[in-house]
Amino acid sequence: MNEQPIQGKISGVVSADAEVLAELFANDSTLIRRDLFRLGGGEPACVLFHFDGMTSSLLVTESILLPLEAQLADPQSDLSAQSLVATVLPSGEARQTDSLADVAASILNGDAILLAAGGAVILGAKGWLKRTIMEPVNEKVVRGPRESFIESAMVNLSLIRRKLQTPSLCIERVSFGSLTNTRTYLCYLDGRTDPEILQTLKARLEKITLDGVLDSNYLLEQIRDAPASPFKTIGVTERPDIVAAKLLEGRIAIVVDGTPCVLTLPYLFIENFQTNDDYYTNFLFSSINRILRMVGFFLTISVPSIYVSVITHHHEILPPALLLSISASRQGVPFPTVVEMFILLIAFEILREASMRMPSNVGQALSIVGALVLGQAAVEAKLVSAPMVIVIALTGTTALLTPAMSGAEIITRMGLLAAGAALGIVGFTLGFLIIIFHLASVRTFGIPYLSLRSDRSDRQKRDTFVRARWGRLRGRDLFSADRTKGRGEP
Amino acid sequence: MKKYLLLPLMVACMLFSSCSNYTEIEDLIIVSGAAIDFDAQTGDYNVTAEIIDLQSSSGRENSYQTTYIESEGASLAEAIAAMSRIAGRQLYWGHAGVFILSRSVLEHSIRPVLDWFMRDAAARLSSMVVAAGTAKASEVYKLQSPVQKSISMSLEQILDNFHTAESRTAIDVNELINLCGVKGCAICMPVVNAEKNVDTDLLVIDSYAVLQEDMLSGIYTGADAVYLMLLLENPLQNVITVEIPSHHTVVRIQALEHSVSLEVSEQDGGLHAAITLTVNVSIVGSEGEDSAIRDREGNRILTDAAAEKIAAGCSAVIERDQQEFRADILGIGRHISRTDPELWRLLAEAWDEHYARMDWEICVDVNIDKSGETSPINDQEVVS
Repeated sequence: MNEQPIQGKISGVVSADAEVLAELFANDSTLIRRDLFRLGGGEPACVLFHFDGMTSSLLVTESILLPLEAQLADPQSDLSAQSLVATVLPSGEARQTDSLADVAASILNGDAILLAAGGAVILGAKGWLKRTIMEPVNEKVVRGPRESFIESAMVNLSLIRRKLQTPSLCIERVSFGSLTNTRTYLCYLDGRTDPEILQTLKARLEKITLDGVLDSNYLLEQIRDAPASPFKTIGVTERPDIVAAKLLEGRIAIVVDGTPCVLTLPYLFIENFQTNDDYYTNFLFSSINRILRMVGFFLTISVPSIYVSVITHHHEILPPALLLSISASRQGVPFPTVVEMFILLIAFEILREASMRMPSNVGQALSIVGALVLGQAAVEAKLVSAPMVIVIALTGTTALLTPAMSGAEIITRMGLLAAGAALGIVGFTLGFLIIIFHLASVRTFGIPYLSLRSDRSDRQKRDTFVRARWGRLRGRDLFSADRTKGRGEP
Repeated sequence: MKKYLLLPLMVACMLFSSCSNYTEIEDLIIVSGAAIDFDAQTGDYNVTAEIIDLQSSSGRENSYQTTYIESEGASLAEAIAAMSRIAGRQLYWGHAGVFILSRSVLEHSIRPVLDWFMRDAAARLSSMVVAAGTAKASEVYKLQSPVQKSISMSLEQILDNFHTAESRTAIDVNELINLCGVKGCAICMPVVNAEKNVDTDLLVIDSYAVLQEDMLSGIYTGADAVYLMLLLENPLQNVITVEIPSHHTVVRIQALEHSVSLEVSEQDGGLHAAITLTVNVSIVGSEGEDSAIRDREGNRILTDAAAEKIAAGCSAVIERDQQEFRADILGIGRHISRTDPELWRLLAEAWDEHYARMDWEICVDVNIDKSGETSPINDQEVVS
């Protein structure tokens, strides 16, 4: 496999250039070559190259071939590349080039290449099939827009541009992957984004050397702070409204062609508990939901550890009736409490992962099997105790409040469980402190991870743990370029 | 924080936290209560522990079966240690709710019992303490309870009703420790007796043991116990029978909310205590011609008669305590120590003598809260 960068120039001699291009893609049988001759024959006046399935047949026919046909019929017509671009071809996207690399990249991107005297013309004729814009799969809302990004970066950028109709919206193109040449776009609002953060991002992106980038996560793991941390320091979203909101707050978005997941940075810990739904519903209701998510996060990582530590180390804490009830329910269970907890947690995670991978038509059956097996049958067979099933159910249910943190929750939950089983409440406290220390030590593009979005305490209160009503949300975020201005100020 | 400091911190927490007592909850032998007897001849303590048998329990609170382990030793600690040998593992005393002390323990001294509570890490100072009215404390476990199979849990439920912020008619180990060896306030301990009910010996608390410092002074039973409960603000709603000879009527009243206030002063070179008892009552029944007491004037006659009856009963209780027990059941000494520490400093040394010579008067204020009936009731003619 030849991975050398393509070098060379377009000579301007049509037949020679055609042979070079044909040789370049000699092993690709989907390359379509159309030689175009003047009346009377001879050497081809122009040669058209494009890939089957990548271009629109209608565009190729109406924007390229039909206009050329008229020119070819006239023996006096000027068929140089410059003339064709300037006067003949009505394609909205037409430019001349003499770079073979440029030609190769463009044809691979779905454009049509017309080799003519004096150079090559790149013609916009992209026509591959795209997925339609649908409702987001992972970020559903009760109220609000229901558009989602798709794999085409151009479509995604158009969705963003429709929401931010301002010349301040900057979109810079970068390519990654020597073999995939994946087009990536950095989006930010000029005057809102901190230039230092932008520079830092660009410096990190420049260091990336990959042969292929198929998803935004390829970039994410290489540019994020604290790469070993289970907590994410770069946001991922498939919703245009979220990206637009974050751009307005002064963040930077990275749109990667080929994936509907757009990256946003910097990303703070508090954002894990904020959803766009909070801004589309009543502020009181959304404040309650936000607090519920925070409580849910704490419960999902702590409940297993606290339960195990209390009933194995701190029996005195339990009220007598509860102690007797739990003790009676555990009579005959063969496993130690901590082993029982680990088994059930792992079984729960297996079910969760399986439910994501399985075909949808067996989903209901698996849910029933999981509930019956984990719940009823295991308790009746005295493999597990009933209180343990309740604890697992509570853990799993509260985990659903913050699905974006599922990875971090699983790891921290297991860690706290081990600490609690070893040392009781002291171990749980120690583990929790370690998590706090870790979060406090992380920075995301220079911003402390545990920041509350603003360095002014009054603004912090209004959109962090609760959301104030819209008339009072005026402060700019910690990473905005000019934090002295209010949100409504230009 | 430097990451390399984290590891020593974790090791230090593991080594110094003493949190390594991993025990599965189902491996615990849970003691719900214990009865303590003392053999005055041998000087040995005999302990009977009531253990919850979870293997044969259905898991519901009132269905817990119980078993018993008995052991003895020269001290309470030795007797309990012997129990561990019998059971094969350590007993879990952390949820033992009620301890029953026999009369022999109270007559000997309760200090050795309290000593064990203060030394043992598992024993709770919030455990309740009662005295046994039966010959031996362990015989209380042969009685029945209509509510729970576990005697200790039944007693705990009963004592929970008595144990309010104002009441002194239920006592836990912590209060016992505070009052033991302190002058100025006697310890009033509920006594568990057996009462025949439908061919079954049920446990009932209807008398009180009075302890002066660490030893038994005497026991109040019957009517005395009722008036003692009034004086000690026990929330139990006892029924008192009031006779009104002038109206050929006998009325039964039930004491509802009541409160006691105390004022102590120096008069004529001696102490004078003014005790005011305010009682809300409801009329629960009557005999004879009670129509006369249904009007306003009749109500006044009834309240006066009730106040007189209660005052007489309470006076008998206080007199007996003053002359026979010398135990200061009302806590007058403690009241003086709080209100006039200088005076208490003078009296504390010979408080028993001062208390025995103290003048006192009791004033009872009765309010009829609920008369119950809207029309007169004649249960039966009064037999004169």
